[in-house]
Amino acid sequence: SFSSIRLVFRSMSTALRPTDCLAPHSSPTCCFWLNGAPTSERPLWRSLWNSATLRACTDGGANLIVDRVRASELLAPSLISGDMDSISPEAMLFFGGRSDCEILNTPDQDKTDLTKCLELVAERVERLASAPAHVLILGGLSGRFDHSLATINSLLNARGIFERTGKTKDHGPDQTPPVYLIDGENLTFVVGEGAHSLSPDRSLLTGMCGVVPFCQRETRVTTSGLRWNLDDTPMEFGGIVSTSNETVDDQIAIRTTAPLIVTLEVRSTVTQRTEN
Amino acid sequence: PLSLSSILILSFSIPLFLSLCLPLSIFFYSIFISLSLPHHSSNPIATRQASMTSLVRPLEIFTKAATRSSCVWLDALTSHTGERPCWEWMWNDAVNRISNEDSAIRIIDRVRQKKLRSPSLICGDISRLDEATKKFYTDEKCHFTQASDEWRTRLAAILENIAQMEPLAGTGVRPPSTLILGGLSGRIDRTMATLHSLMPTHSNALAAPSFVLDGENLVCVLPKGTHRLQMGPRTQLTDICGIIPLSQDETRVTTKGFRWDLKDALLAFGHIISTSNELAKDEVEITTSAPVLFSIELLNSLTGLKKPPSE
Repeated sequence: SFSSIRLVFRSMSTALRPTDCLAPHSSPTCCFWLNGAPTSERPLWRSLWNSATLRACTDGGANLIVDRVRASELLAPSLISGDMDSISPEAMLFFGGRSDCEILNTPDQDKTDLTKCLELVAERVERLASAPAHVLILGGLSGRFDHSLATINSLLNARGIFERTGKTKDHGPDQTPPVYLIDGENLTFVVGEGAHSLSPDRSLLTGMCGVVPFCQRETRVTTSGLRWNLDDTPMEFGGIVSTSNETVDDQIAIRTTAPLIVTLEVRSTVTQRTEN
Repeated sequence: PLSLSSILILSFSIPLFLSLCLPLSIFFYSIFISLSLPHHSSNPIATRQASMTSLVRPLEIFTKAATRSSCVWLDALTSHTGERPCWEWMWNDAVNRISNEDSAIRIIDRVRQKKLRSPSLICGDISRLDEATKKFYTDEKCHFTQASDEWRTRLAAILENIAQMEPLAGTGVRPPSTLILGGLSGRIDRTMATLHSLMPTHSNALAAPSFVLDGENLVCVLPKGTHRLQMGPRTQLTDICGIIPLSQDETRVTTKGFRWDLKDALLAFGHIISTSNELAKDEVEITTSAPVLFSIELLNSLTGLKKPPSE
């Protein structure tokens, strides 16, 4: 077994506080409502969606929320995009008639609806007064399984999509917003190649977590702050993946040679929250 | 049922799983298993030749009980599971019925009511079962195996075990598949663990692919090579499917019979994976240079069946 190594990096590639996405933020944020299984929705989503500056969904997602937007429980999305084969006539009529909602047809077959939607939102991010604190995706990992893996692929591509907008800004430090996904009690995100320091608010989490390689390239990983740490360990499906692991420290360090999916389990008392 | 010696071997190998030397553990573990279980058949197939085409009929899990002679019931640990009415008769028909401690607790009421047969084996953290539950299952002649608390290790161990239990025909006909109920719902790291457990390993290279049934998803991992998949009749499918790389090796895929066929396509996360594809014919073909996940969507008229369909 590997002893826990307290890693000290001279300079971090990224410092992340993933649990920040679990409460409405004072800074601008982007939020996507996906066409996922309704069983993965939680009461918390309402306040996170309504407090977001830029709200977007795919055409399937528009169908899921149209009734609640009509009832003024949810704010309308700023943008709906997709190949428009799934949008209901009712949703098309309701959102099409609103001046605060842009509807865009994106017929590219090589990219998923979510990837195209992320790109469109990234273009609009430049018009915001300040860079968003984070990008939040609601749903996408439940329901049809090939769709879940397509969501993972969009998550892997998402950092690059928002990085392109970050580079056009003339700010000193990297302003690229982190991209988080919430589905049920899962808080899932990508850490890219390099070194990262995560400091989640552990009072919001159960402690269960996973670190999983998806890319078709060598993924050597070193961690600290987990119950079972990795020590320059090559990770791959069929080899070693880290599941049912636990966070045991307030700071978790991850260094990796290729992008990794990290997932933290959120307490259901948090996902059930309805107040702002 | 597992022999006593294999149960002892399983118990002794727990310390191996407490470390992260998992490939090494699995290697030694499979040596223990192959030494402890009786050998079946006189001429096992030593290697699968790359030119051999395998024939896969995923929907036979609904029509042929032999394809699910081993059935594993996994629990999602949330109220929103992927359980469907068909699970009950598929489980009850199975010769080997295996659960972990979570699903053993989940189904106990229905076992008491005789709606479900008892598991023949509970493999998991047995210490989490209370005395009453343990006594009940003992009276039902269920075997117990204390395995590590790592989810992935348990499922992979169960699958390797089953692969050794099925008699090898030695005639080129694969042993019957294993059916896993659940495993793709709830905590996402546990879903990843299920996929990890489906990957071909040294010891299960000869086994037919295991199928995972969760909600309307039917999923399997196809090893390197060419596979003809007979999907007809497709009246109970939505035809929507996906072909997704899982191995870290270069994964080049060629297909026939899909709406968007792949022609020596390089599949990779962060680039192109094939999702929201569609079956266009009753028989499709997938040739792959590395293990790929194949996922299809069923209609809930099929998963909602309360008894086996007439063949």
